[in-house]
Amino acid sequence: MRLALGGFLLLAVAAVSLSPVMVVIVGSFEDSGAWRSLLLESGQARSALGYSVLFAARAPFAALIGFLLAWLLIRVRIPGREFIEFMLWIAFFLPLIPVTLGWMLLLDSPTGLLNRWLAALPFIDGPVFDVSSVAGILWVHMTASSVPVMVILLGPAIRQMDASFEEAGRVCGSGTFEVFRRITLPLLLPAIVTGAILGFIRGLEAFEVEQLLGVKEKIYVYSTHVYALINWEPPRFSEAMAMSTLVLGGLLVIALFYQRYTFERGHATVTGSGMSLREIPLGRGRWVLAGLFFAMVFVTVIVPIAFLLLGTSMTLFGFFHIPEPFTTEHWSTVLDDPSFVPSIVNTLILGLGAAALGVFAYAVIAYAVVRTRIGFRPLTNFLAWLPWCVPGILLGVGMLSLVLFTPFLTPLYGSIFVLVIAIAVAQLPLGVNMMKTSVVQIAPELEHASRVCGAGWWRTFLRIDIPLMKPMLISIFVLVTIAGIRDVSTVLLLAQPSSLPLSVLMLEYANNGDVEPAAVVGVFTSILVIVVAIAARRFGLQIGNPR
Amino acid sequence: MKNRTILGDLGVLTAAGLIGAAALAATESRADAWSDMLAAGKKEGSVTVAGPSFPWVRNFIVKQFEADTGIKVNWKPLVGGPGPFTATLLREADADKITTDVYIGGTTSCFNFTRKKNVVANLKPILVNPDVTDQSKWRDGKYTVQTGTDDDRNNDDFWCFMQTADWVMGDLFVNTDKVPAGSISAWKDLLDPKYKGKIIAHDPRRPGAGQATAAYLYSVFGEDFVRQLYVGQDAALGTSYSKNPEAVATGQYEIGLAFVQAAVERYRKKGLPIARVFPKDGMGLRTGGFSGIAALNGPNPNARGVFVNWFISKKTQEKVQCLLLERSLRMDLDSYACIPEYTSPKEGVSYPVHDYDKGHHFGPKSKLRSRITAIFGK
Repeated sequence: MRLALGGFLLLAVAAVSLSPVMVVIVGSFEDSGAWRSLLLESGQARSALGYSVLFAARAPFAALIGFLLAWLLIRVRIPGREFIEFMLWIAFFLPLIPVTLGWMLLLDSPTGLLNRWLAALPFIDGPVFDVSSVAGILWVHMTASSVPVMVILLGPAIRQMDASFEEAGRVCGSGTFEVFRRITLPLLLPAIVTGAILGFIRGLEAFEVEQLLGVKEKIYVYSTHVYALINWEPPRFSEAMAMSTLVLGGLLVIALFYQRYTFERGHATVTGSGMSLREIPLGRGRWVLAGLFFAMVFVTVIVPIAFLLLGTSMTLFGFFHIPEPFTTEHWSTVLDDPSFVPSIVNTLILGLGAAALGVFAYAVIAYAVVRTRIGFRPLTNFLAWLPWCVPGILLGVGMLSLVLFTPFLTPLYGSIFVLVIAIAVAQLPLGVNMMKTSVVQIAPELEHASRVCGAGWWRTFLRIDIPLMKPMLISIFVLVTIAGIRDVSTVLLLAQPSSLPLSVLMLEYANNGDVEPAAVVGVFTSILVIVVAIAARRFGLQIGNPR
Repeated sequence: MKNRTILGDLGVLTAAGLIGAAALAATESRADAWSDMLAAGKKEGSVTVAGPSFPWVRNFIVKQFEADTGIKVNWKPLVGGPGPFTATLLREADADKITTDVYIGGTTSCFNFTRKKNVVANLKPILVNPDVTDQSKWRDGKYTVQTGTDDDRNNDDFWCFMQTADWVMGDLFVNTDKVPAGSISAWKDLLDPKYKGKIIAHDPRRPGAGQATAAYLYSVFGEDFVRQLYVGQDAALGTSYSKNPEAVATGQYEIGLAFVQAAVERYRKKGLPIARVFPKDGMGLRTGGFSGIAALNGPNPNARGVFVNWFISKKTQEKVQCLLLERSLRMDLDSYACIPEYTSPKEGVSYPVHDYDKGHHFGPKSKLRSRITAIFGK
């Protein structure tokens, strides 16, 4: 029975995660020269891999910073912390394309507004900032997604930590810092390492920022190089797939390391003993912290949003010195666009549909892998990693082939349901792995108690595990919804006219250089994600609600 | 003699009458065919069109086509360039599930699929609207079409692709504040060391303007010149149709290669210093830009026919040429004033290379594509 159940789960996960990956691996061998070109001839491919690793290496730093921020927000009564945490969520939720446009308006070289202001100073010669650089790309990533997402992902783990461990430390005479260093940090290390690994992998897949800021300066990363290869004439699919296969190999090593790491440790930090929410008294220091946090929020959230809004009303994006530099024309253009309203509806269906489908699937897979003894668990666990090993555009190619050549799926082709599945599959690694960190934190004795009281497996899962995993379930629901709203590359090949989402509409504008209407669409996308965030908060997500 | 003349006149009159009757019958027959196609198209209800990623073009077509015919347009923008669309289309064709009925766009990618019989339908029997069948209204008194299939390249009865506009490519622009007028009179002037690092070009490795201009230069001056210009002068290769002209308009770069007029005009109209230059030894490449149209084997064959006829009609071409800023090949339009002057072919000037020419596509351009990574790197 265990073997049969395990086999069924394995097949289900393999069908959605392995099939597209196999399309990529097999495709890499269709052109015999693809591997030679990748390994021996293509300087740009090597450079792209190097830049990818360089940019992805921000993940451990982001995880540490994010952990520290989350810990401070939860454990110190910082004035306005609900607002601060909410703004960090907003920072992460905002689609990267419009945020990057906002930064470009401010920091582009030489036309960025800040550069123009600084150029007026007598001791400054030439532009000071250049957002189209390695430092600029890192800055946008760290402020817009890497650090905020770590706060979001690590917050629930900090909140779920068992009080008794820290209390025991304090009873033994340790101070706040000692407890933090010797108890809190080691207990939360699995979540931090998970966040860092996930961040590293996500970093490898990053696309929009590098595409907007890097290409002009010849800063290619793995995903933008793959995108370029597909857009070359003739398209170099095999080479793109060979590159993905190579990265897949590297990620396998990381995945195996991660699996070994998590399987060797028990992480039950949620027991029947209650949560630890003891706050650290900082006196007036908390006002200083509040000031620092508000400054951070201003720079990382308010500034890009303000400049994005400014950009929507510019006659020519970034041109402040021309006659009549401002106009409302771009708003009229977008509001009169017949695709606009349908694309909002499609976006909502896509985001919410993928989240609903995904959260249920992720919870079942994570629980089965961590808590049951069904067969093939390590393999199932491993397969759940795979979708992150290929960039969105190639995952789209794989899904396209899967749907077109699988008879019972073919009728779905062209419908938005295919996009929903694609997003749910693309987010499978995030969903399953974050859900696993939540499942391992639940002490088995809670389930045993339920069983002893006569509840079956399913009832225990619904009445004990699900409520305890609720913060993570809602977090993942929101993250997948946002991913569905923001994603461009995965859905690009799959979207049909009747299922075009806002992200593709935004790209349609931006693609031709109509940055201003693209920014208008970006504003609406941002509004949509903020509405989702507020709705999620009402439904129990601890956004800006540390207690 | 007189009898013979009368007989001759009678013969001529009879022949003329017969031809007139035949022409009338043919016109009526076409009118019937058009009515039938329109009625059947309305029954199908919609047509799926893949076209350039220009929202203002899409908006016009979607609204106007439905207003004129009662048939809905599902617009599939070629976001991210035509490469992803071609990839999807060929996979759909392999699965016998093509979802697109009409393709509007450039020739390079179109050559990748328009000759595949399972992908593309013959345009010839589709053109039935009396407004479009009179070929005398088109330049040189005929349609400009690509013919043949992969199986039979010489099959002139199979029209796989029709060009509807013709203009001179934006091969070379300068920032007029940085590069004085007249300082570039020949293409070789660009090899002056003072321009090193000051040139930006649309990436020739991608389909579109970048590859068109590079293939033109390859065809006229050879590989060595292309290598010296792009690689030797350390030209920046951008992929954005708007960012490249912006970089020249703002003076970040002094010289730009392979710009499209729709993007250039945004800056020119605001008084920014960017202008087209015509070196005497190469006045430019002729091209059809995004004006090509092909009928695909999608699910709505009648609505597809209605769309193709509507697209090349006088009324639609009047508007579309102004939206794309590409001069229509129809000679009966009321005005061409909306087209930038620098894209119009000049009287008495020879333009030996045409991007839509089959010989150029399968000749120099194909050769450049085979050498593209050797020249520009991977």
